[in-house]
Amino acid sequence: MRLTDLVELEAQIALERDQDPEDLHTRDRAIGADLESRNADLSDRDGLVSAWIDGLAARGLATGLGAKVATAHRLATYGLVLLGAFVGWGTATVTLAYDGRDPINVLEYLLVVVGAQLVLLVLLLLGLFVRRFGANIPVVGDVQAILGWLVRLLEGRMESAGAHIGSEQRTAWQVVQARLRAKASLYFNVERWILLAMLQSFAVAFNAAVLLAGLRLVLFSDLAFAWNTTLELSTLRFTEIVHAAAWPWQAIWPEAVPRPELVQLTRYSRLEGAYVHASGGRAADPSQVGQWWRFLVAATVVYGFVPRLCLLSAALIGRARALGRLPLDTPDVDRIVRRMRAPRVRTQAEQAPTDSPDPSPARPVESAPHAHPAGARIILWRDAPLTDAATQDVVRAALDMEPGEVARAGGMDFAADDALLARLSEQPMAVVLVAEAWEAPDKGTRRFLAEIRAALGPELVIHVLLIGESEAERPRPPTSEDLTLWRDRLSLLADPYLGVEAAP
Amino acid sequence: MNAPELAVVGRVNKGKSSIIATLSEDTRVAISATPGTTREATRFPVAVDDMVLFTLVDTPGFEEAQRALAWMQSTDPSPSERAARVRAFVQAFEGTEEFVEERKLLCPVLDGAGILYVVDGTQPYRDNYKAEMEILRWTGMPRMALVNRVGRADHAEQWRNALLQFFSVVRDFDAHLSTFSERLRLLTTFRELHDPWRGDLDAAIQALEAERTRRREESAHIITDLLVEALTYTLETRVEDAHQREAEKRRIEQSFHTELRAKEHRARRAVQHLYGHRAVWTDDTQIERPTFDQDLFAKQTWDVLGLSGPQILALYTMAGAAVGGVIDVGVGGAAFLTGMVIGAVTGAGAGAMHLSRRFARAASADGAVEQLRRAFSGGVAFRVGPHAHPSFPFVLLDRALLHHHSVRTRTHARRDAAMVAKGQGPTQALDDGERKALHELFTKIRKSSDVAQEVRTDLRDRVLAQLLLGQQ
Repeated sequence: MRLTDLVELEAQIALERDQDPEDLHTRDRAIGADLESRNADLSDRDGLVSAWIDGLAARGLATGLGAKVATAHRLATYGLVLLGAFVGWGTATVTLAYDGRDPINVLEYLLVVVGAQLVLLVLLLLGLFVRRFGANIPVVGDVQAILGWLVRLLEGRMESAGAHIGSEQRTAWQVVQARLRAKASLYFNVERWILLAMLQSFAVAFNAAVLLAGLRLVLFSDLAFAWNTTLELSTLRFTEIVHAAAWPWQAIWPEAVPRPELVQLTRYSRLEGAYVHASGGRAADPSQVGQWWRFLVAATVVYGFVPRLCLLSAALIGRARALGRLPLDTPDVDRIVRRMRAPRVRTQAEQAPTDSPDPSPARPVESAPHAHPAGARIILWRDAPLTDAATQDVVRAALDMEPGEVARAGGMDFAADDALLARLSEQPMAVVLVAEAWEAPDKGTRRFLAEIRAALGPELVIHVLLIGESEAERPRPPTSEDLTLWRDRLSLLADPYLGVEAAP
Repeated sequence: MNAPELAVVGRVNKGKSSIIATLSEDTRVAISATPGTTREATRFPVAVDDMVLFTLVDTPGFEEAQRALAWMQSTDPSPSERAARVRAFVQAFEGTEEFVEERKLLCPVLDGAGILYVVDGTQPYRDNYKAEMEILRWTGMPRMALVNRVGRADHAEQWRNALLQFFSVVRDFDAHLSTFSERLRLLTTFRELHDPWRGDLDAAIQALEAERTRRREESAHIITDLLVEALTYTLETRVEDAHQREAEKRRIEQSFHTELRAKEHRARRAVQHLYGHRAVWTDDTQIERPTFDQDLFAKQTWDVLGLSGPQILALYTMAGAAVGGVIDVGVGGAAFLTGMVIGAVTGAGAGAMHLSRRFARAASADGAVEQLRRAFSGGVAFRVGPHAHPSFPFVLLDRALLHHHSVRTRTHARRDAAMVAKGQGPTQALDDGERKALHELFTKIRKSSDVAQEVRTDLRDRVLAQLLLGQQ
């Protein structure tokens, strides 16, 4: 896994919180099915997660935050490299400054360029790798605090470096940062190597710049080196120290090991303003006093540049290994893997059904507007099970009228319906349609009522008398819901002489 | 060959859409008492990834079947001409306002869909239904009848006798109460209707069974994550002003419990979505306006869910005795089991202390040195959580299991307010060993800021076992 992938993974997981899990399953299963079709190994979790991130990018669903953070990280690293080079160049220029008066003190150079670096290196490694008790160790704890501050500073710099990130992505990055911090125990190792790699980029650039600046001065100016100390250090002893320091390169670059005569010749006294063993004048032999440069270059390479380069390489390898070894077994990653592996079973309509019934007019049908006529033809609708006598009784009771003969309609004999309508047309009179209320008033019912109206003319009253679930001799009243439904649906007929009544 | 299609047909308002909603698990299907709500034929493909295994088609209901049959019978076609006559009927009225619903429902059948004829078994049979049954018979397509039995009144027997004259297979089905297994049995019946459908329908049955397993496992994950999140959740605040201490303490205590409720709410929604229930459940309003007897921290809730008082005391007594026993072993039995007795009594005392603390309290979060320093500056840090009551995770688990049961058993045809099942907590029926194992897991989770994967897996397996138990 790469840093880009890690950030993208966390950004996607943060984003998922607000998304429909089933939509996520559809999305991720498509990626998983794609892998299956290419005979990829779905049991390889790392491979699955990488393929998932690639799959999202290929579908244009990546947040892009991973790439942006990686770019910001690269820019921040470049910034550190430039800063390191600038500081290195400045350090070399200052420590190797020679204006023709006092020669350059090699001890000062070694202290600044080599000694300080080594101390910082040791503290850095302790701060980064002695995690558990580090905070309680003097200095190491402080280094850890400084490193913590440095991480925050670098994060801030990375944000500035990625200033082209929009406000939305900046917020997303802040969410991801919070998630990464919450998973500190998981990501600590990655963070440690990333920080080490960035700091070593700075250090390598620093050392390279020191070398380049030093070589520039050697090539384009005449430098005079010396060594001096307040301590009672004999030339012999100092020679031994210098030789010990030069041990790593004495076999491959013997010219860079100062000879005892050079050490003796270049001991300097500021009080005298002259080399101690000079036989008169400030430098007995200008070709001799400049010879320390080889030692200094070798010391910088061996104690500064090479260790930093090695550490940078180790940090890059460590970072790659830490990213590669991330245990992708968190519940969030589990969820992604499960979604990729499990086939998506869909049973729903692709588009939400948009059904709705015909809208009813604002006013439902109620009782017929006119007084009940003296008599009416009774029609028992759609196989309602009442006997003729029971039908007449219920009409009498409900409508306070004398019912006429009972006819039947709406059954299997469609021709009989036509015949009945014809009779109504010949002898128009009020009609009472007795219907079972639980059978919803469909188009067939409405059509029949419209045909009755056509047969009767516009002003004869039509009553629809609703009964509930009844036995042959015992009609029952309809439910209020059914009554309301009939009144509502029959209002579609817009017939002012149509009433809907309930059986008592 | 195309995947099989099954057209769900019948008269208006007989529950076709309810059956479709239940079988397709689609809560978006419009279900209404108003006749003619379904006005278009809508396809509900059952697909695994992108492969459609079969399709259910919701259709508008018959509105004028007698008149339509009269038209078809007018030429007195012979049995071999009847299917063509039905096709001619559809063509004859195409582009007109006549028989709109009949044409829309017959089109998928004439295109090769099998017929699933739905009647309402709670209403009595009437002879005029023969008209639509006859039209369907004329199509010559494989068909079965489904007696929808939503409601109390029952005329199923009467219907079965009539239906068997027109359909080779008649089944009962309650669109509101059918279980997953009943739905699968129905699919198995479809398989018998037409031999060429067998392969696709077998694959669909397998896929649906796998989906059921996936949902159950996913629910176990969701519930496990909820338990881990709830048991590791803490809230901390610093108060500089001494006068604000009590108010601030109360505020974070309240926020702490609100967040725990919100976590439960989110987990519930996730389970609901998993089962395709996207509509708002009654309990969803709980966060804004807690229904007292259903609130996570209500006394009534804790009275019936989680661990009972004796169970808490037993757990603590056993734990205390175990610690005391270790000391006894350490002194080579010289203490004559005194350690175990003292441990048991201490454990029981600690358990008793927890009994009435349903709400977590804020306590100082500063170490001793920090407290000493702040004694002079006046500031203090408070922390609430993790919730320490031994019964809390059991209450949460019980509620999650009951909620899961309610979601799993609720069909997608129901439009009434959904409620989480009430009753005795499933964890109260656990044996002592399982209860102790869960208690130990919960204790382990509470203590760790970063819960180990093995602990999660162990907990998930136990939750899954409970979900499986609830399914039996």
